[in-house]
Amino acid sequence: MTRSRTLLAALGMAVVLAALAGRMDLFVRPWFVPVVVAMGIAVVVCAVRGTIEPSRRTLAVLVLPVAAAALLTPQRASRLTTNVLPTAPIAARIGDSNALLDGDSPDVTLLDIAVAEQRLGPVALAGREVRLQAIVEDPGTVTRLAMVCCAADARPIRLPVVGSLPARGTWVDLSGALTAREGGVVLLVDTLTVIPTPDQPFL
Amino acid sequence: MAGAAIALGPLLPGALGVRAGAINLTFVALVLEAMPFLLVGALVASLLERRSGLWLLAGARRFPRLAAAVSPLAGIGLPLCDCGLVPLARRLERAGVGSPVINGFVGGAPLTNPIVIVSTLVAFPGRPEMAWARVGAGVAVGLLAGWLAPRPSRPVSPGLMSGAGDAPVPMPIREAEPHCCETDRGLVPGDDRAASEGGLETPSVVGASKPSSPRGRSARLADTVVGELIRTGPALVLGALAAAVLKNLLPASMFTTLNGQPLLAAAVLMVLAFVMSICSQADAFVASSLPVGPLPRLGFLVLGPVLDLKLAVLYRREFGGRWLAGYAAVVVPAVLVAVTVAATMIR
Repeated sequence: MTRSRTLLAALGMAVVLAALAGRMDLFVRPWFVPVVVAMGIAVVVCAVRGTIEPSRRTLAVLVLPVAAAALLTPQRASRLTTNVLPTAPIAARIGDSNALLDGDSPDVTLLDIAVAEQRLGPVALAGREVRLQAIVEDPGTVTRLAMVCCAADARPIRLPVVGSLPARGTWVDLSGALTAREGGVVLLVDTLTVIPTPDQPFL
Repeated sequence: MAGAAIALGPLLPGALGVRAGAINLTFVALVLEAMPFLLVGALVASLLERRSGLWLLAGARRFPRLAAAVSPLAGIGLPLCDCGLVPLARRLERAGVGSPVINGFVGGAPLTNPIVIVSTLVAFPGRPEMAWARVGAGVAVGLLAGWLAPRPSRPVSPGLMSGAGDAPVPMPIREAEPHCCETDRGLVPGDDRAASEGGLETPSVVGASKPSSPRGRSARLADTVVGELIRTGPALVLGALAAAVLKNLLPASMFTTLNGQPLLAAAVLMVLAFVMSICSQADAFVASSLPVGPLPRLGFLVLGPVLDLKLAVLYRREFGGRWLAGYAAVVVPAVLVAVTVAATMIR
């Protein structure tokens, strides 16, 4: 196999290895990761089996996203969470289950709360005990970015909280009860634990 | 150099590092999301070289008006995102199919895709009219594009954005059937020869096997994938990078204060759709979360799959800047008119 096809195969292999290491979760939804892995494998196989030689210039451009992904760790990506402008929350996502709507488990996400609030209204959620992980945005709000399809369309999901919060940008594990206040859902914090950045900072 | 700047940007301290990280994240996500569909599109395009595909292409040439009329509906049978349709459009052009068919396909098929329809239905629960308005406007835009947009042609002067190789190598045209399809007058050059003619990436073929043998068939399939990757991949990467930079530099607040002016809001959200370059299978969820009315939402939903920054780079690479300008001059006003009519009807 020639050097250029070897390099192309290496690019495909890098995609596969990054996915196996869990790094793709930073960029795409979990259901799409197998598609990306299949693409990486296809590129490796086709580079080995094929006869076309990519030029150095083409390879240099194709390596750009791999280089960009290499140094983007969950910690660095999580810095973006509190730096996006306010927008309305996501209305729904295909294939999502919702811990608040589907059962009594206290372990929920901010997206579960936002979607349940849109479906049922804040009053229906009052009194529900929940536990969630999020990042502190300001003294009264926690937030987390939620992808629709990939990180390019990630949007912030915010939740007002009542309780003492650490500094902006700190990841926290919160437990407490939901309540309805001023037309929206608010979390009354019972316990708060500072946690390290999760491997997957986005929902 | 550029690669180092892109990779190391997020390591910068303060707001600059955060902004660079946001650009990186968007850039990589757009490429990862679009590239698999692009390669699948290339494989589907290669199916057009089989008997049934050739029959379809021959039918499109024989009945051009009928083909042009139904081309926007072709998405029903092609559950691919908008990027995946690019290799198919190129295949149509190389096969000598009339420009109304190609333009109608490019302008309408991304919106008649079943996944796009289902995702729109899910994103707007209880409001199926949004999905039907989107499809209807898409078909109308496709028909107008087919009627009015110029004929696609291969770009004359290649550049980096067109995926030109830095050291062109003479490419032997493979014998027998590869990448050719029958026309009324004989054989039309397929993708490989077209590439060498246009001065695009000219891949060299080393140790090609006979296409008729199993080894030859697998090599040909592999070449279809690699050929698409080296032909369109660089344009996709650079288009995604441009979209990521613009998306993260434009102030999002400019899109959130337009509720009282629906037409202006629609125009602004069309700009947003162009810049954001979101996959057509996901954009409905983003649109449903935007704090605007049905008209601007439809503008966002209809223009994005038909023409966004990432697609513009791909189209310019495939069909040239002149065609792109003519196509944009038709579809942008067509989208605005179509979504205005559609929004009025569903109100």
